[in-house]
Parts: sequence; structure tokens; C-alpha cells
Amino acid sequence: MNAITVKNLTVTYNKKPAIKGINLEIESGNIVGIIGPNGAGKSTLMKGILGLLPADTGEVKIFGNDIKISLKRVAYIPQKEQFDWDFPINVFEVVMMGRYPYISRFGSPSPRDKSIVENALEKVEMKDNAYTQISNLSGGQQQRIFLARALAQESDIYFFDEPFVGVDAKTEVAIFNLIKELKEEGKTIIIVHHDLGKIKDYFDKLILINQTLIAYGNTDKVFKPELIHKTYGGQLTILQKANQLMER
Amino acid sequence: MDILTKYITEPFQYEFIQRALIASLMVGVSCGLIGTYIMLRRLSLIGDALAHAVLPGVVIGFMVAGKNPLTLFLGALGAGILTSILISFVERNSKIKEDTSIGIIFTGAFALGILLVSQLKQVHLDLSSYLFGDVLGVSDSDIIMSSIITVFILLSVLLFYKQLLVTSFDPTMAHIIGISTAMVHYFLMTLLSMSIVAGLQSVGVILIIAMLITPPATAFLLTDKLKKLLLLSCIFGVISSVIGLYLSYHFNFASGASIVLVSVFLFCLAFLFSPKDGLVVKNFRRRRNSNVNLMEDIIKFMNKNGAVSDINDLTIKLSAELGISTGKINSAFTKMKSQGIIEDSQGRTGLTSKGVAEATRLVRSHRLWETYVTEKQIVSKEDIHQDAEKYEHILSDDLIAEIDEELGHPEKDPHGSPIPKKKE
Repeated sequence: MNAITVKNLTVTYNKKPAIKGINLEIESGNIVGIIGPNGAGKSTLMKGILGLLPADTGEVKIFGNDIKISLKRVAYIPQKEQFDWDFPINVFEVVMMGRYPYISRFGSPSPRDKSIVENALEKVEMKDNAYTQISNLSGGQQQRIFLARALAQESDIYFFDEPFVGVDAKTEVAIFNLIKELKEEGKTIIIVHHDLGKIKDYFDKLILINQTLIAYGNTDKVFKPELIHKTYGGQLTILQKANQLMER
Repeated sequence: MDILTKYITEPFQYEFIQRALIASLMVGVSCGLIGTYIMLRRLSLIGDALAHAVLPGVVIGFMVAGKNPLTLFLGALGAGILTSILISFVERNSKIKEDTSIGIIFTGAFALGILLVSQLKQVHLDLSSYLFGDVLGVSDSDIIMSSIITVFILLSVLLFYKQLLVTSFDPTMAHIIGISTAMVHYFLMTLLSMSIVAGLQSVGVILIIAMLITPPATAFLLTDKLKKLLLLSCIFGVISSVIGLYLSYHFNFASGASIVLVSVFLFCLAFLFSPKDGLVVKNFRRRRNSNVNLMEDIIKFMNKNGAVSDINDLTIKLSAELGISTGKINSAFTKMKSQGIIEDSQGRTGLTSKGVAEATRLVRSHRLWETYVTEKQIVSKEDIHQDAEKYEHILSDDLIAEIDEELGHPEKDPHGSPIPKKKE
């Protein structure tokens, strides 16, 4: 069964259509990159799929169901920039939010929830910092706690919004290794990615988008100069071109 | 002592003071709890708006059933909720931003309230006690109402702790796991309107926002844990209310104003003296650190140049070398003598064995750090000495041992100088 099916999705943002008529069928067990220039609607597509922005037209199914039914099966790893890092909360409490879908409305975490959270923290090498307030974390650690939270949620689909922005090289490797592990467990991973480096190393499939869907398919089929050129409308920077050369 | 006891206990003889005290406690707790979330969600402006906007609701309640606390409460609640809905409605359906929308709606509602008050002919609603609070005029039914409100708010915060936390910290996550952020927002607006009603009689509409914002802000300077923050907010709210009440009684101050001024005073204390980031504390720490740094620099200098017969000459040399006034260096000498780091013997001033050990520790710290940053390519070669000059003062013995371990106990630093071994 497809993990995600998107039919004719159009989402308007600030009165202008940000993405138009997107159709996608994403199979389980893939690492999928969403690639496109700034303002191409990468994040909008992700938010549209998650129902965070209302769709003008079209529908989204997660494992054949409406998103509201499949909520527990979706985890979202946001950009860390959008957070108030002075918020009075510690690492453990943030990761515990991943267990909220499993805890009853007025209930509190069970010992099992706690051990799942501890395991998730161990996986991202943050166990020693479990009771650190988030205001005292480094950039890499900030990104890791959201990954831990997603792991604690035990989802089937993981959405990452630019996970490698503002993290150190070591964290990037650690995060990507965990993403690969998730894939081996049969999970589906969707990543909004901002540059054209390491595309072939990271992604099984690519979604090339610039308001409309330019191409979707296996990375080796889709990551071609003519399609990239079409996506970026000839606005490729020198750095991006150089990275492309590196890839070949 | 007797005077003080009298000062504190005297007011208790009066029943209206007892009532006022209970009302103050309620205001402190209900505003402290809701205010914490208002602050964390950056809704202070909306809090202010709602406090004013409940006026027409109160007047309409008064027109319907006179000074009946229940209708006043329902009127205020209705006006508060309606206002918060209107604010979002205008924002969502035009290009007007939220702060402007707040400005339009709340002044409009407040003006409507004043207009309605001016139409009340036969019985006059005491507008000034409503605006500025009159904690000494609290009635029994006021007490019953604010108790119910406070208990309701307390239960809500306990029961919906998870929902309030996740929607405040990460609304996106909340949405994905099926918690309606809009519902939580309007629920919070309802609680906010209720806490405003609870505080109307004692603090008044104009100043109630201070009780919602100032105690949580004070608490936030002292802790970064949410549960502690909620508790401290209540405590500061209660302290402000009670002390404010006393001042109001003894000096005949407007109760709302004196309660708010006490809470602002507490905020100033925390702002200046908070152990974590109070201004004065930070300054003190900086000065203490610079004193320690100065002593350590002197130790290094004396270790390198040996004991001297003329301490004044040494002072001048040090002053030139470190760029620090001779007065500061002299007072550092006095301190170092009392700590047994330097001593006078046979007419010469030099390091004691304790001082020499300290010097060795500093050199070891400096050279290990230089080796570390060179090996890890953290700092460019030209800058490593300057960098180590700073770090040698702050590195703990444990960390030094860890660096030594990590580097495999090096013998020499990048300049080829020997790294002293740790004394057993």
C-alpha cells in the first residue's frame, strides 16, 4: 500500500497559489527528498500533506485513510529556528510529547512511555542531557531532541523540514544514520532539503517542485541536469552548479 | 516588635479586611497560573485587551440584574470570549495584523462600556472602583465567586497540563497529534476572562493585566522549569496582593495601584539580583572572575621572574605588563598574602610552595589547551596563545584531565615547551 497518496493538491498561501495540482504516490520504505528553489513551495507541500495549511483543492491519504485517522502514524521534525529556546522545558519533557498520542486525555506517562523516551534519547546520544533545559543546548543537540521525539512517537512516516540546516557535520552524519535505520525498519521518510549536495547519497526518490510538480521518481532517473534546470528555472547558483559537478 | 505585630494583626479585627485578604489570595493564584501561559504564548497584549473589553459585559449584566455577581460574571465572560473571537476574526479576514486588530477591538469595546455606564441613570455603578479596584469593598458573594473561579482555573491547568504545554511550545506538533490549537486557545481565553473577573474587585480593569504578567515574568527570571514557574508566579502574585493590601489599608492607597507597585518592585529585585542572570549578580561574577584572573596572571609572572626584593618595582612592572592600575595590583597582593600564595622572606617577596603549585597548574592548563585547539583545529595558529590566555583561567581540573587523556598525555605543547605533569 502507498504510504502517502496526494491527488490534485493546491494550497494557497497569502492569496497566491503556492503549489498547484500536485499528484504523488509515495511507497513505504523510501527516503524521499523534496527539492526546489526558495519559494518553490517545498515546505508548503509538506504542510499541505500534513493538513497544517488548508487545501484549496485535492486530497491527501495516509495509508489509504484521511490524515486525521492516521495521525499517530505521522511524525514531524520541524525546523529548530521556529522555536522559542527560552521556553521553560527540559529535553525529557520535549521528547515525552512524542508519547502524547498514546496517553489518554487527562492521563500521565506510564513507565513504558518513560522507557521508550529514554531509548529514543539513547539513540540520538542525548541520554546524559535528558534533564537539561532546552535553553542550554547546542544547535546540533536542538535538532537531535526533535528526532528523539519523532522516534518516541513510533510513527510509520517521518517528515523532516530541512533537518541539516545549522547543525554540525557530526550531527548531520548521526541524524542521517538514524534515518537510514528507520528506512531499514520499513518506515517512510520525507525530507525537505535545501541544497543540491549529497542528493545521490541521501535520497532513494526525489520530488522536484517549483509550484507545480516538475518530476517525481528514483533519484538516478530524476536528478538530471535538464530537470534540475527546469526546476530552478535557470537560477542555479555557482555553488549549486559546483555541487552538481561534484556529484557526477 | 509590638508595633510591628500590631501593624500586621490590627487589620485582621475587621471582617472587610479578612475578606479582602482572601480575595487577594485568589487573585494571586488565578492570575499567576493563567498569566504564566499568557506570557509563554506571548499573549500579553490580548490579556490587556480582554481586561478592558469586559466592561460592556459587566455593565449589561448590571443593567439586567443589578449588582448580582453571577450576571456580572456571565456578562464579563461573554464579552471576553466575544472579544477574543473578534480579534482573530478581523486578523484572519483582512490584511490587518493581530496587534492592530487588538487595538481596534478592545478600545471599541471599552468605549461601548463607558457609553453604557453613562446611560445608567437611577443606580450608579461605581466606575472608579471598577477601573482601579477597591479591595476593601469585597463582598461575600465576590469571595464565593473568585473562589469558584480559582478552583476551576487550578483544575483546568492540572487536567490540561499536557495540552497547554504542547500547544504553547509546538503548535504544529499539537495539530499533527490531533490536539486542536484553536480550541485550546479559546479555552485559555475563557480562563483568562474568568481570572480577570476574579481580579476586578481588588485590582480593577486598568491594572489587572499587571497581575497577569508581572508575577510570571518575575518568576521566569528565577527558574526555567515550568512547574516551578507556575508555583512561583502564584507565590509572587499572592505576596504582591497581600503586601499591597496592607499598604492600601495603612496609607489609604488605591488598592489596585499599591498591589501592582509591589509586584513591580518584586520584579525589579529579581531583575537585579536573580542568581542566574540578575544584573547585579552578573556584574559581581564578572568582577570576581576578573580578580581571580588577575591573581593568576600575577602568579604566572612571578613564577617566571622569581622572587623580588622591591615589591614596588614589581607592581610597576606588572601594571605595565597587564595594563592594570597599581592600586588593583596592590590589593591583589594583599589578598594573595592572606591566602598564603605569596610571602615575604629574608627581605624578598616570592611565591610560596602553594603559589608555585598553582603556577604549575596554570602552565599545564595553558599548554594543554594550546595543544588541544591545535590538534582539533579549533583556533587558528596565530590566535592560540591569546585563546589559551583566556581558557587557562576557566578550565576545571576534571576537564584538564579529560583533555590530557584525549590527547594521550602529550609531553610538549605546539611551541615545543614541556607540559608540566599533574602533581599526585
